[in-house]
Amino acid sequence: MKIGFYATGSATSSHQDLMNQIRYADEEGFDSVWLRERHFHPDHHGRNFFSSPFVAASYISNITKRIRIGIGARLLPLDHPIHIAEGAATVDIISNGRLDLGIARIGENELYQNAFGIEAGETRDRFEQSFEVIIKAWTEERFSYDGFYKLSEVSVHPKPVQKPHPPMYLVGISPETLRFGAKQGLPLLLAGAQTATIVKKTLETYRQILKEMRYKQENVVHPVNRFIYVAETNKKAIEETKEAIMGFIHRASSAIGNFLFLPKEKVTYDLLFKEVCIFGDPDYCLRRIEEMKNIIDLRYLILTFNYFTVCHEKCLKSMELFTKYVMPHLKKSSALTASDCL
Amino acid sequence: MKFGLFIMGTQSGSYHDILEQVEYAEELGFDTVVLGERHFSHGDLLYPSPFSIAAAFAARTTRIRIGMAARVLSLDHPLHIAEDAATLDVLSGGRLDFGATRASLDEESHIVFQSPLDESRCRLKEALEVIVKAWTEEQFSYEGLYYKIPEVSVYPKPTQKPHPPISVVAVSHETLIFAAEKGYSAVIGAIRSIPELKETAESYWRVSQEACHNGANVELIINRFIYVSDTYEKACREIEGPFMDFINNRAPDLKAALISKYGTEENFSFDRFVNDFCLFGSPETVTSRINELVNNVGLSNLLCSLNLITLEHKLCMKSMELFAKDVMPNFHRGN
Repeated sequence: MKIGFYATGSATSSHQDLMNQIRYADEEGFDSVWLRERHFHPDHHGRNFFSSPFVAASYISNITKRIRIGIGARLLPLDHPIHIAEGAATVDIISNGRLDLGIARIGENELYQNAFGIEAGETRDRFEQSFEVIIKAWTEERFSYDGFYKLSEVSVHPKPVQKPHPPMYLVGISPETLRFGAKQGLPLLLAGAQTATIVKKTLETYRQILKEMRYKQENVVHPVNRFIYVAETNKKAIEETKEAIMGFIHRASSAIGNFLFLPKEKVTYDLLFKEVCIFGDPDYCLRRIEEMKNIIDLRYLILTFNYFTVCHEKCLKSMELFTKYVMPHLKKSSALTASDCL
Repeated sequence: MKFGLFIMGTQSGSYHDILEQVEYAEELGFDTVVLGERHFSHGDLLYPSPFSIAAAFAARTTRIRIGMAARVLSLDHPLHIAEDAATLDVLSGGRLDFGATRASLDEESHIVFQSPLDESRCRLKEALEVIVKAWTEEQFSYEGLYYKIPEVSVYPKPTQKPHPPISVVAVSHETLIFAAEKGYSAVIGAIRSIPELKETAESYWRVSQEACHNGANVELIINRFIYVSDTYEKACREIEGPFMDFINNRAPDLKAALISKYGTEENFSFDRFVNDFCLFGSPETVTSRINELVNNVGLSNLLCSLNLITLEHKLCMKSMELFAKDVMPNFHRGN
């Protein structure tokens, strides 16, 4: 099984602490680190670190040696696809071909659309067209395009190192977005704030569409994001996460509710503990992951150790317990390599 | 005197060579490494995503400042630019010198990014207002002709307070005056002769004073092509071919500017360029040429174009080394 580290950041620690968590993930054998794109968000105590994921990714590629760097995800309609293609190619070169690019339509936020001057009704077309332009920019020496983006015989440089281009992932929940992603044969990155039941259902639907599109769906590895906290005992894990995860849920934007298909007030710790998060001692966490593996054919797990609300020291401690006592068991079953993804 | 190294690119076009130059620049004691923004294939520069590569500079160095000359503000949304810049400032521990320019050197970028050139002056002004607000205000909204932003709080905030230093590339007189009035430093291109620079400096400082900017925080940053070798003759022998190739074939915008300066391409000559604006020669010659700028123009911040994309990486590294070891120590370095 491949294991990723979802870098979120912490309310009480610095950006350098976050970089140290990433260094640790690189040294301890995590396969990937994932960043996201978020704008504004005063609710994260001003520690939103992810408004410029490519800038952060380029920095991270220079303080790590082997770990892949995923963006989960760039919000395509908010930026010009040429900027995204150029930025991604730059990071791919700087990192010696370690970029994985996730894409998303926009999701939750009207404020994003208003701030960046995008009409709400345009986001789907922009998303789909932007995807096409990015692929062309990476793979064609010269091309033209006529849509929201009007391009006449442009030649975009530099080209990424990975050929034909960096692996791409879809982040999304709406049926239209899922259909679009499956049509392109993209792996689906499933968000952390989804119940196991929803993850299972979404994956079934997605795999079915992939099959209909005649992709070898069994070769497409879908990363699943989960919140995790490993402590010495289950009791301690519960004690140390209760406030943290509920604080995160309450502060986080309405996206959480969307992903859970539940109004925010119905999201209880009990529900999260049973259906969403992996909180416990190493044995318990391992068992939960093995369970998921069996139910949804889990081959790529991206773990969020920090939800803005866990302090740096506890986060590192939980990562340490995970790498020492849980990861070795999961790595044993690893059989797939990156090239199997697409 | 401050010395910045303008990282134009390398003959191989390799980002890894550039990273090597940047690490070497820090080791040699340059104050700043500076890079520009350039999209598509238009010859000279190769940074369509300057903040992304600058983040790699930040990770590889600990002391040197990282400058932009410059982000083309009209080609991107100012909130993206503010976020990119602040992220870089945080990651580099407050080492960003933010630089803005009104327009791209090629028209194609303005067509692609649907930002007409004739809007770029107003966009520059609005974008700088938005960027400074995004960096310094907890919450703000903005209502301009081109940018309309509802109430937002932009994160991260830069490490430098109140915000990173700002410079504006001043190609036109109008932009020079804009920079002086607003209290921004100005970056002056590489092909102006000393009499022209004198005039530029006089205008800038006069307007800056009238606008009550005390001058302590603003600078006139002057760009020069520089090449140093053991002797003047050797320097000219080594650089003439690559430099003329650069002008004639790899830098269309610079070529156009030189044609308007010299009337026609027929008037181009290497000797003339060396006489008028290039600092090529032995460490002694280059030192005295810099002193000429100090005495006539009050030069205090020199942006050195020491590498051309037509110049072999090895020669470039050698010239950087001679410049740093035998020219820079002849000047008082301040803090």
